[in-house]
Amino acid sequence: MRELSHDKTLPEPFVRILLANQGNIYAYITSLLGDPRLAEEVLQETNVVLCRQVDQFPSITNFTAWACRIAYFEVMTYRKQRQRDRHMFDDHLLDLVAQEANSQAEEFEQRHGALAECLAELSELQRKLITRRYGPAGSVQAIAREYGRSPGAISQSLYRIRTALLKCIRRRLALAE
Amino acid sequence: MSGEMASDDSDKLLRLLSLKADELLNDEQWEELVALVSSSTQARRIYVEHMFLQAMMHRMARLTKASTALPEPLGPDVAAPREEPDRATGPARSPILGFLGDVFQAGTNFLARPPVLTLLLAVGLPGILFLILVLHVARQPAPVVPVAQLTQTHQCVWDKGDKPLPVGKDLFAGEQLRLSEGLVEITFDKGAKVLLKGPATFDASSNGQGFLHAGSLVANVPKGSEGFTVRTPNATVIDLGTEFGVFVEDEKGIAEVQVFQGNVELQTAAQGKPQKTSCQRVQAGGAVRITLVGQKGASPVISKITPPVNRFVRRMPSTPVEAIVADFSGGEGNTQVDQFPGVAGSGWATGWSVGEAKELKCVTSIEQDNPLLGGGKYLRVLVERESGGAHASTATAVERRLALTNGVDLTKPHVVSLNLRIDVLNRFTEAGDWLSICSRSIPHTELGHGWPASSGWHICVVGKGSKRAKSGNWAFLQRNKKGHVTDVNSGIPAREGNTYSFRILVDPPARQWTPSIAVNGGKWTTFKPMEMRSKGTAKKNKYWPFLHLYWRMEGGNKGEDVEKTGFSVDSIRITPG
Repeated sequence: MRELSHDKTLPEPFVRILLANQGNIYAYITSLLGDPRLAEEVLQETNVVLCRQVDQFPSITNFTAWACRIAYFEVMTYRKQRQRDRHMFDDHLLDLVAQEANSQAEEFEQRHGALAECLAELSELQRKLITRRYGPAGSVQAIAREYGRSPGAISQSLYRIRTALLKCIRRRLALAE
Repeated sequence: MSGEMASDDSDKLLRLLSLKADELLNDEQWEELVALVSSSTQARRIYVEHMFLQAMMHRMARLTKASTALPEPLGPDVAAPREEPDRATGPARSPILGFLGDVFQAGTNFLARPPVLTLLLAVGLPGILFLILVLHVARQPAPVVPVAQLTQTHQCVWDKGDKPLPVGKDLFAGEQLRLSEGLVEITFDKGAKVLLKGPATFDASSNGQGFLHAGSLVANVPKGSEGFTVRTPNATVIDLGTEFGVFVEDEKGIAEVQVFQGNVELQTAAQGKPQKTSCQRVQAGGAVRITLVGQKGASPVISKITPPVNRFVRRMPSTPVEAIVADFSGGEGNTQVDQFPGVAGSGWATGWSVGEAKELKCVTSIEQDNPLLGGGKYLRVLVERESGGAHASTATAVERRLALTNGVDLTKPHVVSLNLRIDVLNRFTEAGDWLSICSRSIPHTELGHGWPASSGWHICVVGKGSKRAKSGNWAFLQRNKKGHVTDVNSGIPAREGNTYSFRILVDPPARQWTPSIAVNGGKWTTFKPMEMRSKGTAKKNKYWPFLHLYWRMEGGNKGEDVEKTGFSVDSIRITPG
């Protein structure tokens, strides 16, 4: 973890916009790394770099794009440190994914709002399963043991729920356009 | 890289992404995922949408955890999972509060000011809502997960209005099957198999229990799955390691139970008084009848009977379907396999579908006058295109999907045969006028523009205006060893009024097919083996499961005759090679 300079004061507008953008920067990094857990580490580093570069803030016209650009470089640095990790895209594909993630990051708040509504559209049983998965000790294996089901059956149900959520989010975003 | 992707690929990508999210993705699947994400912008859009969904769900959960003092957001009626390391939701600190902690360490005192605290609350609010959601749903019963699967079908006719169910379909708790005719095998997740004979109505209630409303079934419960239970309106049959049959006359609940092996426990309760239960054990070779006597509230009466001889079907007919047939003998309809459009079954994964295309008018009908080579009912297709349309070339198809192994094994050599009569070829004069019979890896709805070379074996005739070898004659399309699609001219002209019999020996593993043609029931001419037209192995092409009849019309100048293509098809038969 790189440390912040202790004598730097962050302007309130910067902190405000940085907090407001935590979700989309996190989602952007998750897209590049393909793993929400690893993305948390890179988000920490990205936040530190953004704070260090606060001097550029007055001249930034698109904060999200700026933050994503810095996040992109942090991802590249992280990848170099973790070269032996399985399941990482090559640089070319990463660039293509980053382009798509950039555009979706711009509408993150709408997506987030749509997700809340779409979760409410699920049946109660489906909501229970999906929230259980993302809750504490929510591995598929743990859920499978809990319900006396095979991990494959739980995974299949989660696939259906995620697909339903994605379709619902798309539909709501299209309606909002 | 293209912009669009086939819906099969889209489904596959979503499945792979879900496996990845659940940390169940293996290396081979990762390679598939990378190939798909590389393939199109649409695939990358889906990938990023999925990743954003992951991020949002994780973030909500993290915020919930960070903004409350509760260690577990689950209600008391959900068994608390054992503590275990979990990569997905492990003890990493919150990306939000962790970052703020750094900021605090950096000495930024203003964070303690009221506006900033308000911001923190604003950021935490979604988490609080998520917590409420978690607490709310934690009180609910078990989640919706498949409890059984449809593993075999035999000559099924489903109740009117019910969609035919394909082999492999997951059955969810409470999902009701209403079978008019035929047999289905249902395999429960715990291993028990139920052979349901139509007419019958049955629910798969859980992974170890089903409810028979009416009809008959035989349950075969392997060792380790003891306790499998079949409920009926008035009785409950609990397996004690056995094979048994249950028959329910109707919703009133008069029932019979016959035990073939092992024994079962039979529980009955007085009507409306479930607490007044009686139990009885029925041994192998025994049979009982449960009847209702007297007023409401009386207990059902159980009486021993001589085991009925032919009440139950204990085995799915063991001989596989010897031939997959479509001869349209059922006429028009969508309740039987051999109708048009028909339903799935007997080796067909779907009924027939007819595509639509701009400026084409397509009429299909089942006829019986003037049959093909003395056969019975047949399918007639007439396609018309007015002259002067905006589109240079437009195409569509009649097609039906085959089940790969629920009948003839299409992954192995097999023979496809059919009769086709050309009724009309009016203004079939341009290079863009086509009539084809082929197998395809994707349905016509996914062909998009250009009708890519997704066919396996492919026989066609093209308008005489074409300079290609197949002009006016039946021809075979194949991909040669250099990878180029080439035509092989059969030398047999395609003429109105003639009936052509085609026989194609298909060898999917070898990517080869050998066509034979006979004209008007005459002598067969067999041609040299051809290569499949699309690239890739048979497996990659999903063994070309679509039987596809398609036509394309080039269109013409305004004022010219209406362009028409008409043909009749009968006696489609697919047999092992």
